[in-house]
Amino acid sequence: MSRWRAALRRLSGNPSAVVGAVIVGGFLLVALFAGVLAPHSPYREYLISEVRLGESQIPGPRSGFPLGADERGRDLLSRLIYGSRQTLFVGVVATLIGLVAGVALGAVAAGGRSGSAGRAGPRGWVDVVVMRIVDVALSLPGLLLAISLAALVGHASQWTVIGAVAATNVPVFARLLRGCALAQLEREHVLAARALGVKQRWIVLRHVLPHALSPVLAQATLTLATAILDAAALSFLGLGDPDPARAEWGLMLGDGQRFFEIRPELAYYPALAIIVVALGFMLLGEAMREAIDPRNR
Amino acid sequence: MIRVIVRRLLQLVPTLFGLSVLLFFWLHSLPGGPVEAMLGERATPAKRALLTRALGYDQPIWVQYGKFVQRLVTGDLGVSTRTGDRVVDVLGRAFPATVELTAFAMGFAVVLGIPLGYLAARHRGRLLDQLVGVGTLVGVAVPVFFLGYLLKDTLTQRLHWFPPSGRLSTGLDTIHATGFFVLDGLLNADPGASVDALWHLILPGLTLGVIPLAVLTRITRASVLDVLNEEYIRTAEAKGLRNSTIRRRHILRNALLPVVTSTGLLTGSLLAGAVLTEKVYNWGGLGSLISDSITGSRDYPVLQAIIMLAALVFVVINLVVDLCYAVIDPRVRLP
Amino acid sequence: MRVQRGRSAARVAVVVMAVGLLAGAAGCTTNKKADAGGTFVIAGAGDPKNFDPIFNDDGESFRVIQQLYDTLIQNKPGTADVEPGLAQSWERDITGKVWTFHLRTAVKFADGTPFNAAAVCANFDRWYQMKGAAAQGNMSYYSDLFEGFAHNEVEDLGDPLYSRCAATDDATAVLTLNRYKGAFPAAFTLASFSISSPTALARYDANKVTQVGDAFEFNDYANLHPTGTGAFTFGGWDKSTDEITLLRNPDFWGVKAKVEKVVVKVITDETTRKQELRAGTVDAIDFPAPADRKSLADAGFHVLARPAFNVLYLGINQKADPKLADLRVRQAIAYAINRQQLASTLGPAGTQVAKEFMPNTLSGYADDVVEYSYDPAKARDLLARAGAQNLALDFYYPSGISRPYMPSPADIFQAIAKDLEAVGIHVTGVPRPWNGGYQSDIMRLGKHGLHLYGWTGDYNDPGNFVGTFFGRPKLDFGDEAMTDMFTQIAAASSEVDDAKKKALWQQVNRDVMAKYLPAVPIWHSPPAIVTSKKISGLVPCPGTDERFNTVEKHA
Repeated sequence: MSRWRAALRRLSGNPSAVVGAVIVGGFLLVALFAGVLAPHSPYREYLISEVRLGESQIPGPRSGFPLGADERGRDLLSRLIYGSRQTLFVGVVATLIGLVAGVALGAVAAGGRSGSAGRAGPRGWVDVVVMRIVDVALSLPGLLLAISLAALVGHASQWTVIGAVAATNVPVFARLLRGCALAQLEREHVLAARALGVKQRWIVLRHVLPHALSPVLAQATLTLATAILDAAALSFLGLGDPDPARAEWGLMLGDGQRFFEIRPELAYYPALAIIVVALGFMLLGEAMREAIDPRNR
Repeated sequence: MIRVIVRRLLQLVPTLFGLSVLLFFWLHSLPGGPVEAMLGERATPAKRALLTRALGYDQPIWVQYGKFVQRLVTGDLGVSTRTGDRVVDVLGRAFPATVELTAFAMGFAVVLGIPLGYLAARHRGRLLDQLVGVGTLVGVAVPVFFLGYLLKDTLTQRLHWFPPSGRLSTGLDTIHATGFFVLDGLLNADPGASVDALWHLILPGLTLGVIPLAVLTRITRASVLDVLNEEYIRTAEAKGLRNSTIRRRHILRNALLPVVTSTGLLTGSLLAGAVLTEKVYNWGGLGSLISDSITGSRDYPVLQAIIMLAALVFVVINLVVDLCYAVIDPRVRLP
Repeated sequence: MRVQRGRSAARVAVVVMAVGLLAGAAGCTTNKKADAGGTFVIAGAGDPKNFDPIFNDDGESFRVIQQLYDTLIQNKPGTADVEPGLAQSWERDITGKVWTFHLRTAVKFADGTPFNAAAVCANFDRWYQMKGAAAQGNMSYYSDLFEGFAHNEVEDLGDPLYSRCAATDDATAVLTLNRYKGAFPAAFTLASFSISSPTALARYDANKVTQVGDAFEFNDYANLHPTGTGAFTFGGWDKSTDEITLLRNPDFWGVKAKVEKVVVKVITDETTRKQELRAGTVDAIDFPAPADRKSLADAGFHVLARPAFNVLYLGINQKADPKLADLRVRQAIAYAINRQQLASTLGPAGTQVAKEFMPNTLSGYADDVVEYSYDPAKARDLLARAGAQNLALDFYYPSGISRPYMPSPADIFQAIAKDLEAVGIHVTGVPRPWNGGYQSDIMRLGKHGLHLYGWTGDYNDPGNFVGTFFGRPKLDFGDEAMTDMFTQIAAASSEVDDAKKKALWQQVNRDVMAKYLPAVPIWHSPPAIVTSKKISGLVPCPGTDERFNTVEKHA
């Protein structure tokens, strides 16, 4: 556990890590307390009577509505605040699914590979097959895979986006966990445990997973950032959730671009939000990765 | 080496075939489709029956599949439901467009990224390094399509420095020999066309190249740092070689290995970015095809062909990267 | 050394790029080709299918076809009224089955073939005798109007309307039909019925349409050598740059084109089209989004609104819920929707709430129909009286599409859903891609409760609107029980006497709004075409059939 403390110390000394942590923390707080922070409901069309698309009129900032309204008269600020929740939801769920599936896959592969005393186990072929598939999947860029998956599904929905993005993250986590697991499985005390006849599953749980936790966490932070960006890209292409009332940054950005000339803020603010949050997760994730990996110091 | 290449390519054939079968059945099970697309609001039962008969949809799926396979083995990829052109022709036109764009973006990333990453590593911890660090992260965090719209809005609408879209100015009478417009201009002894094509290439190329630039810079920096820490560099310094000689001989050569691997992988991710960039700039390459075939027209023959082409390209890229790896580092053995 | 070479290569690359930048900046001014009348560049939203008029029914193909060809009768520019085209005058007999056209003389096709009655009959005969499901399947408007062929490839087609065509002399063509149809003579203005050169048709294998997998492949006539009598001739389709070039026809029989060339440039992204217009690289764009019209007008562009010739309606599927079969419930839905606010919020300038299912430019329009003004209290009252306070309906709307009558379906859906919820009708939104299930779910499967749909008129006849919607039972409305409505519409469609026809259609409109109400009409929305300041002479037409021969481009 002192490893954790050492890593944390390294992190807190790193300015970009601190910035990242502040951004991420702020984002999480906003998402958690959206109900309290937002001045209005994000769905009610308060200023709809003032919207005149035919005359290129969308209500701007005024008292009570500091950022003005969107093309349906809804409060932009509230939508941005509640949007953090939806965006967080999409990012977290996609990452989580990818993580769980990937970690399981990686563990299976590693388990198959290592038998006793380092030689390939009886189920070594499992490792080969799984890693081949992972290699192929990794060679396909995440976004393209996500686009293909989303396009091939008949109709778009939020879960299509989540599923497609999650699917592209599975190989990343699989490879990561397999690497960590293999490294651990060669360690002295693990070999000793196996020689003593301790069950494979137990070994994995007690020895492999705790050590894999930190790199997986670091990767998850980075993956969250790309998940948010990929989800926004899918919305832009029309493959995202077509429910226009939903307050989600990717959706708002895609929609907002239609009105770039009359109210560019409709696109700028969600874009800024996405950029800042993605940046925050990336800064934190990169710093975590550096802090764990002793080589780069 | 040859055996590896041949084996890999042969493995490709059943993969592509299997993929095509999967795609055929999957796409034909989806709702909607060409009959609906063609009739639109003006559908009547009679017209629907006519088109169903005409497209062979009234026959059992196995018969349709049989005809599809028949065409596939003769290299006939079908006809685009959107334009009525042979899919082979459609892809043939789109492919050079995307390659031109990707090459420009990659070139930009390499030319700028590697020196930048090297400098950041050499001046580790100082202002340049900090700026590069933040700058590259911002570069990756900005959504490509938003960047595209932003650049378009500022540089083509407010300041008319660049054309907003397309590969050539309208009305330019040129012969497209290879499909690489910059090259075609030179081949036709029409440098004006080449320059025009280049001018159109700049903004989309930059937009697409920002992310690879950021990634390459970071990778180069990390790789150079790694090498700087290595024992043998310190040995060389201890031996007293001039700093510049050390730099040239050892650092870059050894640092380049991961960079090369990454470049291969990056090219793949460039194609993803190309889908977004080409849509924003109406580029007419594979990316435009993908986004046009998905939204609205559901051009399944083209979509099918592109997915298979993508699989082919990725296998080839993987192979090339593995080969480069083997060439650079003799310790590596190819599976 | 490898590294050194890399360095100098990098330097060279930078220099080349810099030169390219500078040269390109200079080149952009010298690349415009100087023509006598200039080149008119208009940006389209999608690719045309091909250029044989009979095989087309979409606006992108028609935009080109209308410049290359003429029809016997055409619309007076800017209106839906008919005027002479290739036929200087025409008359029909008392039964309405025999149509005599007196044709223009001294007109030639683009390949030099003389235009005459034989050519006209050759075209009509060709369409009637077209063989093969692939060819017949692509003749959408022909199937609509003439109902059948010499040999029908499927049983669902009807008895053909066409009997024969005779060229009594070079300038007189007599068309004989098997029965009267109210759509004529207006339907003769359809671009699908443009007259092609018989010589070119024969020479370039014009009847060959083959199915290849999920699509059709056309022939050299349709793709490479379309030959008509129009103000422009075909200059080629460069697929690499997606540009279709049309050349001025100096031998045109009417007002000769003022520009030297027309280029139709296909740009699928709406924002990009707008930006090209603003940058000056295209001269005109079609169907701008309503939100952009004012900013374009403010920037000095000519936003030309076409008189609305369309209708948007909310379809009600009576099979979705037994309560919907009750007229009061459908009327409640009509009262619940604030159509005026919808029009002013979402519609472009000039959008009008629709009183009935056709625009007022058509003869047969009734001013005195029942009007459903916004009255949520009345809506709730009606629902209560029908015992339908807890209706729950699936509201289908299309995604990934924008139609001239329905610029932004998602926004329209939201507004209507909100109004319906306010009177107690619970609505579940079901978006489906336009080409990926929307139409089949509604028209073939009838899965919906409510749906958004509409229509852009093809020609000046009420049957084209009301007849198309309500002339036969449709799964869209679950209205097979409304046999009275079908009979009434059939009678109006086959009435030969013009005065009686107008009266019958007016009654149809009154009854549809009062007694039947299978759907709720929402609005008529005037689509626009936008040109730059340099362009003048473009007359916006309700039928979207602008001809570019009057377009002038100034420096």
